[in-house]
Amino acid sequence: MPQVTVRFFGFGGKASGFESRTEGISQGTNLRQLWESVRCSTAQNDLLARIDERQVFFLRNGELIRREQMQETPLEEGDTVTFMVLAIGG
Amino acid sequence: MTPFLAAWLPGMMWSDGGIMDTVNIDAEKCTACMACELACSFIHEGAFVPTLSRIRVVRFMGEGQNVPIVCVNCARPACVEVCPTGAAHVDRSVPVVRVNEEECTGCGECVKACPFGAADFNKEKEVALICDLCDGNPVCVEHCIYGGLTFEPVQSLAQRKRRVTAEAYAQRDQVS
Amino acid sequence: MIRDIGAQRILNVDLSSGRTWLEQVDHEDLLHFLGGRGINAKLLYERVPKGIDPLGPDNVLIFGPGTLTGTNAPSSGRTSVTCKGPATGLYLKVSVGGHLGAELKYAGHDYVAIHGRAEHPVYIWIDDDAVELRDARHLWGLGTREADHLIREELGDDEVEVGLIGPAGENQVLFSCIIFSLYNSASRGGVGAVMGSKNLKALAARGTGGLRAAEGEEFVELALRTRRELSKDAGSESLYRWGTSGSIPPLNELGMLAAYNFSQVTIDDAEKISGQYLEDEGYLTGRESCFSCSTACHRFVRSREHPYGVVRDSGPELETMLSLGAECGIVDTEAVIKSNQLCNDYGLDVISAGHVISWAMESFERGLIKGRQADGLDLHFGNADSQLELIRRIALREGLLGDLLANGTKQAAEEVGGDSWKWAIQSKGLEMSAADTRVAKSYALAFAVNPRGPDHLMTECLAEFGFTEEARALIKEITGDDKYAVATMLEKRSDIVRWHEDCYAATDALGFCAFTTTAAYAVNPQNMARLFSHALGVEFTAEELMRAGRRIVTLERCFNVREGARREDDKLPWRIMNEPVPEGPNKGLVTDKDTLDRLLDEYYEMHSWDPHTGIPKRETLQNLGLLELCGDIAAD
Repeated sequence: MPQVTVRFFGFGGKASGFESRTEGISQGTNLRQLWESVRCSTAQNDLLARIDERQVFFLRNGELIRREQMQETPLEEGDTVTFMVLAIGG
Repeated sequence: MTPFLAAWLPGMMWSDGGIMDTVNIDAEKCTACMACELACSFIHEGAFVPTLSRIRVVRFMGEGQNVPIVCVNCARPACVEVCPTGAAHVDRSVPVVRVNEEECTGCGECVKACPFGAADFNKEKEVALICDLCDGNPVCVEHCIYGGLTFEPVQSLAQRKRRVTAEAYAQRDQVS
Repeated sequence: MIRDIGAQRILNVDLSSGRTWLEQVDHEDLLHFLGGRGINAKLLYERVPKGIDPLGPDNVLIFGPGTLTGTNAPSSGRTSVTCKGPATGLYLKVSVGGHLGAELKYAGHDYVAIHGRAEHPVYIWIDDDAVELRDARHLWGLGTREADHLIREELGDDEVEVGLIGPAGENQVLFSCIIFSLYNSASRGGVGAVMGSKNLKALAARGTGGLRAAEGEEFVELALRTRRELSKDAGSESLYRWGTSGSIPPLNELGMLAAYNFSQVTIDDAEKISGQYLEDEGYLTGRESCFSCSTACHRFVRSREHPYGVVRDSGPELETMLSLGAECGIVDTEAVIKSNQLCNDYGLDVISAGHVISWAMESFERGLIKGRQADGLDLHFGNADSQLELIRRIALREGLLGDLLANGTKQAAEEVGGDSWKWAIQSKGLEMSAADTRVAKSYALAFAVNPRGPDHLMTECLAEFGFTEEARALIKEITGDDKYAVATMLEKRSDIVRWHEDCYAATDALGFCAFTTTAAYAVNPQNMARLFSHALGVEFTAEELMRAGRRIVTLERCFNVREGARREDDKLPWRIMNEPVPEGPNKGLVTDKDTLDRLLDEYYEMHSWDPHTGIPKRETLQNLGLLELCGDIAAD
């Protein structure tokens, strides 16, 4: 089973830094599917499960992936996917 | 977990045994945006004049705390009791306190009598300034994006408070 | 008194003579310049001739709440404060929130223009129609928190709104600020020093009047609808939840977190200075908003007893966490909360304060500040105790180092010499805010041409990153294709900057917060034009609004041209132009002279300004209706 690294950024919890873990995926899993499954499986990290998706942005190997394109983004062994909170500054 | 600090100002309802709604305040959510004051003054006076708003936000500068104060619609309102002309009266159809501006002499007794500081003086018209709940659809609540103001039956409010208290007791039991 | 929104009045105060007088704003001017920042700019151009000393009595300090400030248009409570800037010697507009702007409007004044200089410290007390100059000698020397409290106490009214300076402004520190309603700051360019130079401690106001819109029902209906849309915008929700410093973790991840005086772009443990951390670790005790704003991006925090004593104050915000935190190598929540509080109380701009100190730290580590000049302090990066001590000395101009740094990095580098100017992250005399302009090219252009110096608070092009659908839609609207929503691209940057310049100027003029128009998009030129229209009862289109924005931007350029600024001044700090991003996803990127020249060429052409000098052409001024006002500086 291919393995990808999933990192969550800014979702609160223990140190509100990032958490990082390895997920097994099936061949051909796309980013959308991975996101949905990670959300469901992190019920204990409450915010991640209930945050409005529009507040999140998604990186695959450091590259920003638009929400519309998540379904067309297949993941491969060794990929690093980062889910980050959108916030604006000043 | 920060302690849940809420300034509860419940209204006590009467009116022939019916269920009455009350404006409830959750001061922890108030950020002093003043949208409530602006909405209230617009609906009643057609302009943006916070000093003519029936709801007023009290700020504790330097402490990061803000508390909106508004009429709580007492069952036996002191403002009505002290009014020498009867201008302040209970309109049972809503029910709510109304001020008949033609009959009001602007004596200010209602301002002194209200224990919450929710009655004020309308400087423009020289009459009492008392909330009329916008006839049952308060605009201050509608304009508070933060959920600092809600409009709900007083009995549900009581029920919620009971549950919060009960939860504290229930947990205590589990710990021991 | 309840006034029509369109019937604007200027309150003039001459501190030298004590005289006050009122003027009406011409209705045509209101339609051309929109109000707020726009009318401020016109007044400044008319009243402040070339070459005057910004810290002398001939400077004019103008407070201009937006035209819609005081209404329930969402997040419309912002005020522009305009003068000739002491740090740059150029045009200075500073923006600030809080509640004072609305209070001035309710008191019956849409602008307060302050001339001259008082003989001894005073404060202006505006009590509806009555205007008084009150003795402030007993307040001089006090921190902003104590002075604010005393003023409200002696005036006997808890609802008085106050804008005031602290000791830093009194000592004319070139990055001293004006604190409004305790939690807000008109920060940059030394605007506090202008107030200090006039012996003006504070502006206090109480307004019991109000404002009337010509088409009230339509106005309120649109305002409420927009307010609700804005509250659902992902950016607004995020700002409420985590504040502006919620951006710290993403910035670090994207390799754009300015650290160690812009010599690094990531930092370990960055989350410790994030908005998320403030909430999770229990520092956050409240959220505050500006007048009429449903976003509440402000933080209110309470720190722990150890090690700096309990602090209860507003902030820290993103730029604070960056400038006083990462840029100084201090990744410590408690330390930043404390340094932020000191800056609030002394009345110092946190962006410049942090960058002046980070410059000093780098200079110290490179051996250029040493011995007597270091004044007994260990200025290694990361030394929070030294930073706190230095903030105090700067505010009070105490000691060699305090006095040196109080004049900002440009002058300090000139005095310290060597190569220290290379790591003074400034241009035109203003320290740059912490956006990485080697990466974001619209930002780079906007920062270079900003009339007050390189920062994001006059034209921030967040949309160029394309983080959200709304941002990408905006880029598509501006350029024709959302493929240009990539910040590192050079194509179409002028178009993006132009749209944002125009929109930002209109935003400021009406009193809206830039977070609603250029970071979230529920308030846009169409909504702004309709609200303006309903407020005044005149037809007004989005095109006219954006054109008025262009007019304001051009007028501001004319002021600077008159002061002698030219194309050569539109540049970025040396490090940004010569030292590529050292690490991370943007490694190697830089905005060098060739790149900047290309961007400037396109920008001046688009504006129809002379490409060699940056001076607006005669025809351009004519087209914008500025020839009569600014014709004397036109390029032929």
